[in-house]
Amino acid sequence: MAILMRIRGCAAVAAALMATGCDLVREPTVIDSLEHPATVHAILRAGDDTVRVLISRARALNDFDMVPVTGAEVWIHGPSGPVALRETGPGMGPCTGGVPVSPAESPGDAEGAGCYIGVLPTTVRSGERYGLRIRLPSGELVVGETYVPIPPTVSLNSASRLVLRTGPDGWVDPPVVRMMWSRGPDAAALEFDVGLGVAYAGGDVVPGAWCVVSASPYPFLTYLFGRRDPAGEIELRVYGAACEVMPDPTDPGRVETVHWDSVSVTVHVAAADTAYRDYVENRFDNVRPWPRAAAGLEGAVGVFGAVAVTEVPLMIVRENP
Amino acid sequence: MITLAMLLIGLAGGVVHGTVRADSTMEPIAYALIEVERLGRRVVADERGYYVLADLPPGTWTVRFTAIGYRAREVDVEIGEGQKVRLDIALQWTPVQLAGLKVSAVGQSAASVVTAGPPAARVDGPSLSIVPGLAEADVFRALETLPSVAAMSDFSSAFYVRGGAPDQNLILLDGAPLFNPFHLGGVFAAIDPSAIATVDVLPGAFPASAGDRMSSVISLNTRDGGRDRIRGNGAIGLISSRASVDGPLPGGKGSYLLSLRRTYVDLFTDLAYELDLIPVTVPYAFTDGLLKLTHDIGTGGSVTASLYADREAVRFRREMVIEDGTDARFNWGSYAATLEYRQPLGGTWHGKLRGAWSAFRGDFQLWERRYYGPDEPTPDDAPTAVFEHTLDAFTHMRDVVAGADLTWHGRSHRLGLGFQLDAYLFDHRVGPEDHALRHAVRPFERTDRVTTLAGYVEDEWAPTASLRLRGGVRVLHAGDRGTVWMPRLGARYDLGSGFALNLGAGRYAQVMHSLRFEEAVFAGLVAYDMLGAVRPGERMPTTEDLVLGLEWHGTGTAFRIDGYLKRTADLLLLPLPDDPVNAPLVVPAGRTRAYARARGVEATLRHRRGEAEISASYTLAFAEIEQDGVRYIPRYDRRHTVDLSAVLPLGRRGLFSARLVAATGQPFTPATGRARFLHYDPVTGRYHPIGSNVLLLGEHNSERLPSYLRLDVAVRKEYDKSWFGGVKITPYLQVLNVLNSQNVLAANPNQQYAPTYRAVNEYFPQLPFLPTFGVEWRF
Repeated sequence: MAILMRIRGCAAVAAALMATGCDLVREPTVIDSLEHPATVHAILRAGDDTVRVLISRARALNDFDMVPVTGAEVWIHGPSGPVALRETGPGMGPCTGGVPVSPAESPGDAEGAGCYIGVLPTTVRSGERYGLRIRLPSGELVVGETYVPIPPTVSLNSASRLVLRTGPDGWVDPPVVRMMWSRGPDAAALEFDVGLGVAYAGGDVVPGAWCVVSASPYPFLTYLFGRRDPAGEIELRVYGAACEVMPDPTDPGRVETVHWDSVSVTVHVAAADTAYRDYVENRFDNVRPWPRAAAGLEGAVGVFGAVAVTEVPLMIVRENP
Repeated sequence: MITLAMLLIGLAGGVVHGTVRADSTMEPIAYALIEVERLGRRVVADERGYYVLADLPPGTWTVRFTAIGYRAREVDVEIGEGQKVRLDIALQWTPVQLAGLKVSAVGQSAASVVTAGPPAARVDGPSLSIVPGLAEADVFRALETLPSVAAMSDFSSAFYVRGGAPDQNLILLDGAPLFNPFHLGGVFAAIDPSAIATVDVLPGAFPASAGDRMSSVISLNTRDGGRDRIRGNGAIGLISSRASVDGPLPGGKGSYLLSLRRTYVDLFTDLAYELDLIPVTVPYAFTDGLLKLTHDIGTGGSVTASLYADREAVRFRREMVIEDGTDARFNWGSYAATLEYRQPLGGTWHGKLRGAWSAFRGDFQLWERRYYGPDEPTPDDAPTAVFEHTLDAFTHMRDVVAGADLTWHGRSHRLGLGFQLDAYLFDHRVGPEDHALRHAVRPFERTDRVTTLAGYVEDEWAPTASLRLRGGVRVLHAGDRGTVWMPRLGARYDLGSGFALNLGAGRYAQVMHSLRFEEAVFAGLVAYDMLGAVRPGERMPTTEDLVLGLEWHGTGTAFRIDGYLKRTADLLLLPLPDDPVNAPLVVPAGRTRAYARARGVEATLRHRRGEAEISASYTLAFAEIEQDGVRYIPRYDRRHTVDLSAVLPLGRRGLFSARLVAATGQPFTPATGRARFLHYDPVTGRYHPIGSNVLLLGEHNSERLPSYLRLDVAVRKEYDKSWFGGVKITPYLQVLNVLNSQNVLAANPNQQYAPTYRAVNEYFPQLPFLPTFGVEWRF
């Protein structure tokens, strides 16, 4: 009996203790006082005479929401003197190539553009220094400076014609092209980008078709080579390509696969200045320290940077078309 | 010159010297107090019970021996002019002594009576099992009850002492420096608590004899083992079992102690897996062991040899490797060996020679099944996939130590001098370049070899019965890394009525630094460290401190308050992380020089009544680091900490203990803004809407986590059983975090998705409510 009493006592204590705890993790707490600083996108490309500067602010209506900052005064200071940029619309389209930046529910799109465009007296020149000066509608001053790098040198170890062979289960022996590159001392990093391809069938361009090339390292991702690598090489292994066309422009949701004999694709190798490199790193992170979220800028977050692009054309040919 | 002067001062009188031991086991009693009241003379025995009463006038004197937990004893000694009397004494253990947590620096401290400067905090071995631990009694967790010592998290036993990082702590096991003496990433100390006799913690104002780290010296002194008969004890816990045995060596002039511990989670889960009861095993195991031999040599001399090893391993079963596509072989652990020879020399001199070898080695190999091809692999492709070596890492840290100490005991002086040679090797390799854990540990190879030579001289002088002064200097020479002179000062003044003032100051240096990224959030999860040496030609980091303290001892009550100021120069730290939550834990290079400041107040009140003891401590701490022009509070800072503990009798031979800790939350880096970065396409020169909003982090560590609260309780009761000729069994139940406080390890600023799209702080938890139990036994 005494033992039973003792067991009951122990069980009661254990039950009481167990009852106190179940919720292990503290519930998240809302951060209720976030600032939404002006975000500037201003990247110069060597060889261009047109400069595009996009000024916006993030919002929290959804994951992607941003509103344009209209009414700013924007100047680019180059070797030929200052050039005032003009705000243009509709919306941010001129800066984004027409791709909608914010979902339709963003009222900011209708209120203004946020895209400022200017034409320089001469093209953006490698080896030159450029300045940015923005007076925001709120009176705040944003300034920045960048140095335009020299385009990288890229050579191939083989012909630029890559032959894709097919076996019973698909592509076999993916062709490899090795690209040797070197960059100038002013380029902080290089970015490789495999663009969309152009489809050919019977020797002619397939109208309206675009091709996605399957390549390794992964296609369409950015590769930044560190600041301490003045030269190096990258192997591009091509597994195949898929080409599609939109048969009815009024129905953008419908696409059809098209047959191709060959695909013409361009690998873009961009030399980037320090600000552009930092900006790319900022873009990939979910959180950034505030001071370092401004690349080449003071007074706002974002980027004022420069790139110089070298193009490497490749032709991918199907062995048995 | 000083030595000569001391010799002249002390040669005239007689000398009584010897060793104080426990009468039952004949083990030495550390820090016993020896007094000749009529002469107002008091000395304290060293950690091996050796004492010297020098320069006694001729006559018959009553010498009184006292030690915590032992019955005081008085012996009349007749001594002639210049006579040297050897008096080894045995004290009787007081059986009514409650095995509560005894921290002698605030109790009736023998050491504090005769040590100039802020005394060490001492925790005795039996007390270690009283503090509730995670499934196991734990040496390091027990030390966290001291107000100077803080832990980063519930999961890591690494110490942060008065604003210093863990690499600034010197952990000694019988004089051998230990690297990473942890199990399970730091959840447990890798040392059997039943093998420990005393733990001394010096959180600052060290004497010149103390070793070369900047923040603290923690000395784990193991038991010798009984010289009268064989004894054994051990425990069976949820995670592991331990057993130790000690007894006399043949001839009666020595003793041995053997302690072993092993986990059995791997064995149990392997068995359950074999029986098809569980789908996976826990492929982790740890073991640790200690062997210590002590033997008397000549007249009053002794030799002690210790061997220590701890091992941990992760190895997957073959079936799981095939099923999961991952194979791991991780083996790591610490080893140490010490040899020490002590010899009284002519009564007033005492010499000590020691050699030690200590190492931490780890080998981490990982293979993962990879498949290359144009498409995703199908189950049919699995046989053609290959296992790639995705981690090849190795670490080896070693210290070979040789040293000697010589102490001269005069009437009012105690002069010490000595040297220590340390030959360090820090050898690390983590690869390949794209290894599987590269987000936590950057790939690197680094080998540092450095030899340091330290020497010291120090005198402790008692010009009056109430004043003791200590002054000395330590020199650390590290070849082309420079030489650092480190003055050390201490003073103690008895104000009367139980009050005493302590003052200490000093300079400290070390040649090594951590390769951990202390500001990475998850560095707080793991206690293991990888060390490197200061580069040749660079300055060693140095710390200077000033400690002022007040003590009061009443009947059964003790109070102590210490205030400290501390500054550190030439710390080698990594630049602040962009994203502390995702920052790598180990980064081998890229450190810049930083400066740290810390200040604080630590107060402890302890009261004992009968068999019950309660204590309360409060710590107010400010720590700050200045690096690259930025000032920040380090992640491990806690501004306020309150620690309440109680040990109460529970019926006959039972014990209830509880510990409540409340503390300010640690700092973290908050999100203060939101932005959207678009993708720039160098081909079209346009900005494309790829990616979503990002949070912008504000000033580093500028906000604090929710405050910390944890209540642990334990009950234990001893029973006599007649099994195997008589065994004492002590079952125990511990409950950690009884209140299930949702304590926070770290905050992760993040954005929620639909429908709210709010920015929130998500929290990583600390230990939840966790009951554990086990049984201790001894014979």
